[in-house]
Amino acid sequence: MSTLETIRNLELIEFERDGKFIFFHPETLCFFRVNKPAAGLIRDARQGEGNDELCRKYDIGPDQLEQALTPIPRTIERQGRPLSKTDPGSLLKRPGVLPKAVLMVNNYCNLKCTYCYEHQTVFTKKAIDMPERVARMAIDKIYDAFEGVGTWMFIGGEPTLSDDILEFSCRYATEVAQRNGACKPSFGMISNGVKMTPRLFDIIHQFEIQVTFSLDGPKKVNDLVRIRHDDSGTFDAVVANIHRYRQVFPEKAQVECTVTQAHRDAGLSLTEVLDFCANDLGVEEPHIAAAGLPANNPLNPYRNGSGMQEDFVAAAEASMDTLLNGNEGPRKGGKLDVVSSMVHRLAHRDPKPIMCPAGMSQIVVDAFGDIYPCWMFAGNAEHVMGNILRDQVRGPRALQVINRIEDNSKIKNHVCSTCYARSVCSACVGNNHNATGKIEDPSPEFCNTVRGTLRVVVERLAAASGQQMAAAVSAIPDAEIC
Amino acid sequence: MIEQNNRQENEGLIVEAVDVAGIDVLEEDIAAAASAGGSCCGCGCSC
Repeated sequence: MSTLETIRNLELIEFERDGKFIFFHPETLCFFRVNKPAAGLIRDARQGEGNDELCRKYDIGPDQLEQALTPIPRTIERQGRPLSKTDPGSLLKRPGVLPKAVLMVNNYCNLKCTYCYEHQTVFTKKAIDMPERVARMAIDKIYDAFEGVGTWMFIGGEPTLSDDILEFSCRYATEVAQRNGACKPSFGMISNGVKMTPRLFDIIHQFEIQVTFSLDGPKKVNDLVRIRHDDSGTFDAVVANIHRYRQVFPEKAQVECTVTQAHRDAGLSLTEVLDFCANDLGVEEPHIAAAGLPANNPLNPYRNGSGMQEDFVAAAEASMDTLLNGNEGPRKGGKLDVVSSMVHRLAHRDPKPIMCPAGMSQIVVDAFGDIYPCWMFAGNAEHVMGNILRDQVRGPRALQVINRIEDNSKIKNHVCSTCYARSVCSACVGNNHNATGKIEDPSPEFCNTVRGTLRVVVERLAAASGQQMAAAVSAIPDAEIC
Repeated sequence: MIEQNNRQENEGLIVEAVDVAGIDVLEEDIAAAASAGGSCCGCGCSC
């Protein structure tokens, strides 16, 4: 195939910013900065103009035409690793090391956050702590099924309210890993961070538990939505515990902010939330994600064209300022984890074939022993993979659920397969389910936000100096990329 | 940072692969480095 034919057949997305032109190849994450005449040439070539027409129009010879177009297919062919060649198979089907196993150590919570999806599922059952026999069986069966577990993570309900089972699980998982000759696992927990007793801190310290605190931003937004059963806000208690935790493990503290209409109501931009996390909490790369809520939910962050998509894109711009200029730049603030992830994938041309870890590199057992691909499906019969007291990890029902998730890879999904952001997107199948009713259907607003964010990242990298790009790449450790 | 590797400029037409992480080393560059004794110890490999 001639270079001209190759250029016509390639999927190339054109961006323009401040008179600078970029062509982006979604399948391999290769991208090219071109000047205005070259952009016109590539555009005309892709629209079907022939060699003679192009040479005449741009006043060049055939060799020059070839030289101008060649870098695109050559780079894609030699440096690109196509998304379609990456392996989207579930690690749950293989006996190797499982990256993450999650125990939902209870099914109750000391808060009643207004947007929480567990009100309709997890909290409708009788409140229990995970019995020790369930935790023991989960740990035994998971270590029987896999060579090891990278991280054991704890969630609820609210895991800090069940410190006995938390301590047992950490100790027992460590013992079994040692007995089996498996890798020593790390431990993590997602918590509302409201009630953290001295005993809990002892357990955290002993097992070096990484804690992700759920906090939705400054007090004026957090306390609108993250409230106790007596309607009181939780901000002061959580922030105090984040600072206590950071005294023990300054580098391990993470914050996740769930974005809802409350942010609009509080008059807070996402860049302000980002910078609050960095400057007030010392968490420079918080996880800020839109709540997956049905379109008619009053807290849906994208409701009524609220400008949330534009707000995310503005936060992406601010994040790129931070990444490219580091501490030397005028901006002192945080960066979105999704932006760092995109920069890393673009830099290493590392397309991501799966939406998220659910059922692909992660397994979850709830307090009753029911097995799920993600905690977001707990209490949802459609996604139960079995029960750990009765079934094996790879039982027939489990394989049905995993197969459905495997069939939802970016390459196969009806929405993702034609999206130019497919190779960097981190969609959440739980959010898809909560927002649209199907794991296969992301909300259009989410998709637009991801595409807008990617566009900013590509445009800013294309305009950056070599020094800035090196600074951005070195600011993102490989280990942080999911 | 190898930024100029894939740059073609002629008669005002500029098309340049953006190499964010400095990972683009084309086969001809490796061959050229090897033939010039450009390896760390002069053995001809590209280490």
